[in-house]
Amino acid sequence: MLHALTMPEAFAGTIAMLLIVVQLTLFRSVVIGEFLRVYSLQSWLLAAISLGVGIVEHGWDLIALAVLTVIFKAILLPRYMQWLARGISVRIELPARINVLLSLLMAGALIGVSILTSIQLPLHQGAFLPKADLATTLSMVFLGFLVAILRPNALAQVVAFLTLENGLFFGTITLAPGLPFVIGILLLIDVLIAVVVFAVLVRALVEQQAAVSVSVFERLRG
Amino acid sequence: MILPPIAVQAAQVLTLLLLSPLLTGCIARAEAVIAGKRGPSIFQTYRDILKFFRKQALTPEPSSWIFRTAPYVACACYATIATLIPVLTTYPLPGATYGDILGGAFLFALAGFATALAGIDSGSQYADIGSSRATMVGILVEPTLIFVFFSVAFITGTDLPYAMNAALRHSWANVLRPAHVLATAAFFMMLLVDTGRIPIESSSATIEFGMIDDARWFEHSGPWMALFKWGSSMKQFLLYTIFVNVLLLPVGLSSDGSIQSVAFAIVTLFAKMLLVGVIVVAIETTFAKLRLYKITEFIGTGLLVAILAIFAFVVGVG
Repeated sequence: MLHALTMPEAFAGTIAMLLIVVQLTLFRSVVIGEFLRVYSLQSWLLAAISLGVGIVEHGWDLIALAVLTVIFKAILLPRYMQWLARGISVRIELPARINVLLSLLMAGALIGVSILTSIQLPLHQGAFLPKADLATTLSMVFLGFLVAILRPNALAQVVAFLTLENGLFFGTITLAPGLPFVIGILLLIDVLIAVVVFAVLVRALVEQQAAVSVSVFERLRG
Repeated sequence: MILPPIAVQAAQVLTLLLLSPLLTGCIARAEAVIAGKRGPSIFQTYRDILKFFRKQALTPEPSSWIFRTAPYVACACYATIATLIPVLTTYPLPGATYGDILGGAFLFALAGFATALAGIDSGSQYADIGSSRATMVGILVEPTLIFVFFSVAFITGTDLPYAMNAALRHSWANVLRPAHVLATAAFFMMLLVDTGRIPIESSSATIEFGMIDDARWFEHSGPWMALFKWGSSMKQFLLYTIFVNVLLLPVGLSSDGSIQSVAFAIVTLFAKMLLVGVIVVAIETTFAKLRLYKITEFIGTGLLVAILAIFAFVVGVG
């Protein structure tokens, strides 16, 4: 018979699985807007787990981190990147040799590897299912890399990096809730750098393909 | 007043028969309202069904008895499934243990099979294409559903829907267990496929190119058409019931069979379904329909999620 889960364990497990399911949708999106929406959704989930852990552990810094995550990672940055990318109509297809189902199989194998790896480790303490958390963190990192490898497009790779970073953020919150506030903030600043890279890339792309920009047509609407 | 179990069982089937068109109507209305239209009345589905019942039925020349009996077989299957799953009560009613959750899945498959045969039997190409598409989608969906039910059976230690409901009601943490969350997510994706919702097909469109399920009864008319329409509402109602009562929110059901608690169970069931309907409508209005050959990717994702659920449970992370 299986052991009953406590409420914090079940909560962390749920968020972990939702993060992976959301990440899997990256393998079939073909427009950058969907990538950004996935990133925003993941950030909401991260804010939820940060808030939950903060309440259970009475850590005010984690609750503050949850608020910052919502403001920056879930609302402002995705909107800003969407606004930056509005001018370019890039399709971010997979390379021709790999179709969606094959990439999903690869993703499944990588998740399997991360689950098998994390159950081998002697992690027993912790109120939030440490093994499932570690498995999730590893799979998100692997899946982030896989997306970055499979998409031959710089913008998609930046967003893939951002989702990979979300996985690390999840790991730090659930596996080490007592972590200093500074490190959480550092992780947020890390994201800002990725966004700056995104902005520069978009600028370069707009220079290159100004002729195919769809924003030109929007002005023509009657 | 305590109702005898057989009366409650009859109430379960009647709830299915009488409320399923209302659910379809509510969802259609919500969809129209979100799209900025006034939309049909929530009772429109009843009117449609009544109208078709009063009309004359025509049989295409090449068709046989299969064409004529299929609507009854499909509706009978759906009405039988209602006796196997916890629609209103937490305790098993007479006949509820004749089949487990796979028995219910077999009845769904039988109804789909009869409908597909009727489509082929009609001799019309459109109905034939509908049958072939529905069968293709069905072949892909079934392994996912089997994995979902197996993983829920692993967690709850049983494959009887009533016992699953009881095991989940016993502890909320069971509902939020990682493996169960993945299984529920996979079931929700299959729910969208099986009820013909947007990533797969657009439910309100009448374009033959994109049709899957509804195309199968192109050649049926009159009362048979009414039965098929009613049947597709019932199928949606049943899948929603399994989703909310067996997998997601096993609360609000009657535990003693008194009239008040059964009435309360009907109201809460419908409220929970409307909640799911709102999510489905939100998906309908924000996502685009997939091209026919991209459907495998959507279902493949669902299958992967379901396999992960079993995997997560077996290796012990949740």
